[in-house]
Amino acid sequence: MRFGLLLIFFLTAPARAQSMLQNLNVSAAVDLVAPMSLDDDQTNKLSPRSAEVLLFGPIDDTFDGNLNIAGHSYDGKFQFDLHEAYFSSSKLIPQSRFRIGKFFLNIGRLNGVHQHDWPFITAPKVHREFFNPGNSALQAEGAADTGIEYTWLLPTDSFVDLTFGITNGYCFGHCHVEGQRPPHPTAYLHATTFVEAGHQSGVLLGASFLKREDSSHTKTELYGIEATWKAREGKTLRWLLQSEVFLQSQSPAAGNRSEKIGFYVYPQYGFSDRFSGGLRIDGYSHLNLKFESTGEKRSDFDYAVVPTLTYKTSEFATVRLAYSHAVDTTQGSGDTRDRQFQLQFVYLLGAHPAHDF
Amino acid sequence: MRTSSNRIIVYLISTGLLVAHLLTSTTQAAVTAGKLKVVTTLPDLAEAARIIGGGEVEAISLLEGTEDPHFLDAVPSFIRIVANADIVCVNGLELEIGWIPKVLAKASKEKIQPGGRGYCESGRAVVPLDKRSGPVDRSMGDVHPAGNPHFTLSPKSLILAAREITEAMIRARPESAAQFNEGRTKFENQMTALHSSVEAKLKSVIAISKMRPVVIEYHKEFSYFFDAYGLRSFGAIEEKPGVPPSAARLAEVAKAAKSSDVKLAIGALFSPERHLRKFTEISDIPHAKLPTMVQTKNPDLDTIEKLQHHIADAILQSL
Repeated sequence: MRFGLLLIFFLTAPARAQSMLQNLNVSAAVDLVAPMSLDDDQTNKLSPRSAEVLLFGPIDDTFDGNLNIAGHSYDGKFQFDLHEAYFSSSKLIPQSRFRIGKFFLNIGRLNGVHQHDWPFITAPKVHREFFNPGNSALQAEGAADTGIEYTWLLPTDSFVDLTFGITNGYCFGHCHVEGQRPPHPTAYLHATTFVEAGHQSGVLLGASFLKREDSSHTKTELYGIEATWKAREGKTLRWLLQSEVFLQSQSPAAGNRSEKIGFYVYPQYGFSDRFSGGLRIDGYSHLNLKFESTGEKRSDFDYAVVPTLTYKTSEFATVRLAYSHAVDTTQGSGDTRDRQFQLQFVYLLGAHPAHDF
Repeated sequence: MRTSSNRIIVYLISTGLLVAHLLTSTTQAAVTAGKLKVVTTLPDLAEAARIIGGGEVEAISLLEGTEDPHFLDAVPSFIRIVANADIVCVNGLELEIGWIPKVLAKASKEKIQPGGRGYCESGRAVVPLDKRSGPVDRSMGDVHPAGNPHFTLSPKSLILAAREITEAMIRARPESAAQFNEGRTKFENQMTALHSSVEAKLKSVIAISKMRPVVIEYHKEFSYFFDAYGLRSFGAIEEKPGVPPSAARLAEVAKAAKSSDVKLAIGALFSPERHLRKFTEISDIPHAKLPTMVQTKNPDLDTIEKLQHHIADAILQSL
């Protein structure tokens, strides 16, 4: 809370902050959501999902600093916590950049993008289960941890970016507790390349691998591929196609290995620079789920269809409406259906960092 | 077991860093031995760099000239091109603020980042138009506090911008300073001659401009062109920069422009056609969508000279 008050001080006195802090950039992002469930109206309300304050800028001529404090609802209370705090450099080692501290791991597509910058409102189930276990679709954001991440831009003719990361691994996901010391740190790899597809159009392709073992000796391996295609016409992002597929293999200290797979695909068409519509399709399955009584294979497939409409008055203000039709089908348990309209309002204040692809 | 894993991880990182260093060092050495690689954001600046640098320089532009330079992503292919550059020249005045910082950071090369020897902000030498005094906030639209960044449509402003480009080249290759200064003089002479020829072509419009405005622009992208040749503009169709005009604004500005006998409304290639069409419907003033940058893929518009004459011809035809 003290962090929050300090940052409010900066935001309400920009001139003073600028003169005191020179090149410090201050940015705030507020994400308000209103779920309107057709099946369970207990959570139907408009509330701030997150309120994030980001400070960033050069530390000196070699390093940059980043501090991101986000408030969000957790256990029925709205509280601030440290989302990211790292220093980085893209100047120290040729064609390399690194960051040290706490950050969202650069694996896959969604995990490296702040929630308020996603093209849809909620996390696909694959992202929620593998990166934010225990969080609801509305709250799931991404996996953050403290460690070192090194990215190397390969000296090849085409763009190839290779990221290696090692983090403490005490806890995985969006944790509000410290966690316990694991036998090994979490390690991950992420490679991306870019294929141009005409002028102002191209596909960013990526592959990820993550390996970790938690304090209870459960070993997790995560394999993923992703693709992001964008085609821009002037100010309008005419087409966006974003998709990720992840396979998770988990071996507890005692018990059987589980394998789960999930994906989402999200095509979006921009009608104008302000108005766009997309349709997300999610799929998720526990591949080797078995009946406890007989040990026979038990089919399991969950899916969701999420049409989404987005209206932006500028890049700093977004209104989004989505309908999520999610169905969990597990053999022997019957289907569970969750139908929900969702409304989102996002606004950004202050300096906003430049856009990634 | 734990110690062994840690060793493997440390080994992999150390090897990766070493190989990265060796490979990138080799690449840099190869680049230094050949032509000076200059990457510019806009094609107009690339042309200036080519003339200034002559045979010493290989200049390429990230944009082809059809894009809206305000709204781009940090496309990975840009990052790859910039990573191979000895010099990066941006337009500046915050034109590329939404994407170039990410491109430069991800290229991970110290010398081409702001403050580095190979970084050049060509707009720094330009005297900006529409510079705001007093506080600026987003309720005013997409205001550039440092001033209007679209200076490349003025040959005179390009002469000023060429100073920054020349200085960056001399910093990178001081032994060729004389050649670069000679190239800069050549560019200045070309731009001065171009200005004179376009001014002569626009003589009749300039004469009318002394009495009343002749043109109106959708967004203030042509202001430097008008300023360079003394053409009076009625202003912008947009009420606030970057914000589409409301129906009321369109009607108001269209009627006012008509009563002032404005001859032509000009928009950039990426300006919204429906607003320009509506403006024309209300005012009976024709509109033209014209390029704001050199078009690298269009042989009729692939030089600064062709672009200047193309805009001048469009204005003349409206009379």
